[in-house]
Amino acid sequence: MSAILEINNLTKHYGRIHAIDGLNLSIEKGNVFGILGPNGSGKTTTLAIVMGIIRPDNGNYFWFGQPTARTVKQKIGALIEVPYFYPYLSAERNLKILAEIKNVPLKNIDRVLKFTHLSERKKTHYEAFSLGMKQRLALASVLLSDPEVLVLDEPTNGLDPEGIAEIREIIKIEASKGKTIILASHILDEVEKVCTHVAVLKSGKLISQGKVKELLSSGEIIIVSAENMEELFNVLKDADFIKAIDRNNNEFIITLKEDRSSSDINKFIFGKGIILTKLAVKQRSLESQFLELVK
Amino acid sequence: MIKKLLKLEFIKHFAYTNFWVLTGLWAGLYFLVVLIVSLMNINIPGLESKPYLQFPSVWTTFTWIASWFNLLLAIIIIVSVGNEFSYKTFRSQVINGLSRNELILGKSLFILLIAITCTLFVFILTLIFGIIYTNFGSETSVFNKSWLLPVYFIQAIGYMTIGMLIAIIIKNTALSIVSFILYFFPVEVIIRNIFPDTIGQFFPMKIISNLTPLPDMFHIAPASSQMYTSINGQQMAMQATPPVPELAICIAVTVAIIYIIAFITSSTIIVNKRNL
Ligand SMILES: Nc1ncnc2c1ncn2[C@@H]1O[C@H](COP(=O)(O)OP(=O)(O)OP(=O)(O)O)[C@@H](O)[C@H]1O
Ligand SMILES: [Mg+2]
Repeated sequence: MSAILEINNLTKHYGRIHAIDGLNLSIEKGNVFGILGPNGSGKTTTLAIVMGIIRPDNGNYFWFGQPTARTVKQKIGALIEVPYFYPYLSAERNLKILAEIKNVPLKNIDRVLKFTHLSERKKTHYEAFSLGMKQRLALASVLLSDPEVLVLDEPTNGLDPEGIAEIREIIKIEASKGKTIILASHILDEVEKVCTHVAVLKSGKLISQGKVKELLSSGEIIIVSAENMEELFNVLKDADFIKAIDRNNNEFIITLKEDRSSSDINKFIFGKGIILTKLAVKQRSLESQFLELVK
Repeated sequence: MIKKLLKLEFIKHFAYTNFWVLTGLWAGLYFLVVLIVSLMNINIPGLESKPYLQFPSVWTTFTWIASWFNLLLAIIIIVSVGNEFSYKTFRSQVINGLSRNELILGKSLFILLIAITCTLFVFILTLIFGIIYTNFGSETSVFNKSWLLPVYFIQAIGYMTIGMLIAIIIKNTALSIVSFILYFFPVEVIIRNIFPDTIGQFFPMKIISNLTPLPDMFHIAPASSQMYTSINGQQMAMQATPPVPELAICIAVTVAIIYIIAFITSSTIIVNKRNL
């Protein structure tokens, strides 16, 4: 398999806290892979380990099937948590240092500065940048070597709505070029909008993994009730177009299989001789799904 | 690789004002003290000229004066390494492809470069002042004691590598500078006193700070015992100690080099073990 990044049984403790606990992940080429999880679930720790700045207690990881080396790092652009730059050096000079490390021609600096709308401020000291400009510069540094893989940890942190939209646009453009993108976020909406795959972490453990469409389908739920709830349940449990039934007080919450609608269920139940006292269709919120996942 | 790492340090420091302030302070203060010493009149009976400014004694005098400012060199390194931790730029360099060993190699090369530059500066000043003050006779041996220059070079590297190690352990610039000074005095002195002299004399600061011997002028002092003079407003005890035998310096230099290797190795081990 052409796994871009493979993580095996990765573990990291901080004292008694399990920042990561036996994590296994495999990210394929071309994935836009979201790592989702509440604050403190181990997203940053995971990315910091695979970028070599935190030592794991256990487990290993492979980029492109090999252990990390300089040649591997050239193919990866990463932004971990916050930008790291010398405050007393200009934006351009800060990028020059990274270009030197990555063996990238200096003309790339102008290209990425232009791309992130920082060309006019390239002589400005990093400390004089606004939060959003700092984040843009970090993004510029990620794109510096035109890498095959982008590793982004909360890239929209501190950006205005326009900036957030731009970052999403950049991610989409890079993804359309066939690049692999690993995006850590606790913002569900962000992951849903840009990712193809998602892994959900909680307390350092992988609790769910799959395609975004399957895992986070913002589908409908249907709420029904009848005079005789037992009778209704007996009918519903045999229906083959129902994915899940939950009982909530005096109503059932139903998730339908794909391409089925509320009229199907109404027809079906009526056909069994039961009159519904309530039939409501609700849009299931992503938040509620997410909370359900990490419950 | 070496060229790349040196270039990186150059880009980092060339536009960094504090670096130039510290470097300028070092060069300026050294030049000032050397100038004052050359203009100063120490009245030693029977001596109307200034033998300590003449070849070959001027080598001893000038390397000894240079050794006063090694603390500044250590501070330059502490600031440079401390910044890498404060601004997490070591992190970014590893993320972008440097290995942890290369982080230390880069700083070690930077130390080497500073030591070479400073030694060259001392060399040039010594030559200039030596030529001005020496009445060249038939048997004036200009370079007789110039071997003290490499000794000073080792000493400067010694101070800077200790500075690097402390900055790597503490990861904080201000705290590292305070710790360095406190270790220099009084911490090591106190620890040293617990041990017998034979062991005490091999402690790192003791060995490294004593590498450059006292100038000859202090050995010509009247036999009466001690004399005090005021250099740069500082009271200094000048004791009439016997001249340091050259063999002792050889041993001291060897021990100092061993210490330097130990400091760099420890720095490498620590940086490899810890999270950045
Ligand atoms: N340097 C550290 N020392 C001690 N504990 C740490 C350290 N770094 C992280 N942790 C702990 O490890 C756990 C995982 O942290 P991590 O930063 O990976 O979370 P995250 O998923 O990135 O959260 P967020 O969404 O807030 O960015 C947390 O409980 C955190 O407190
Ligand atoms: Mg995080």
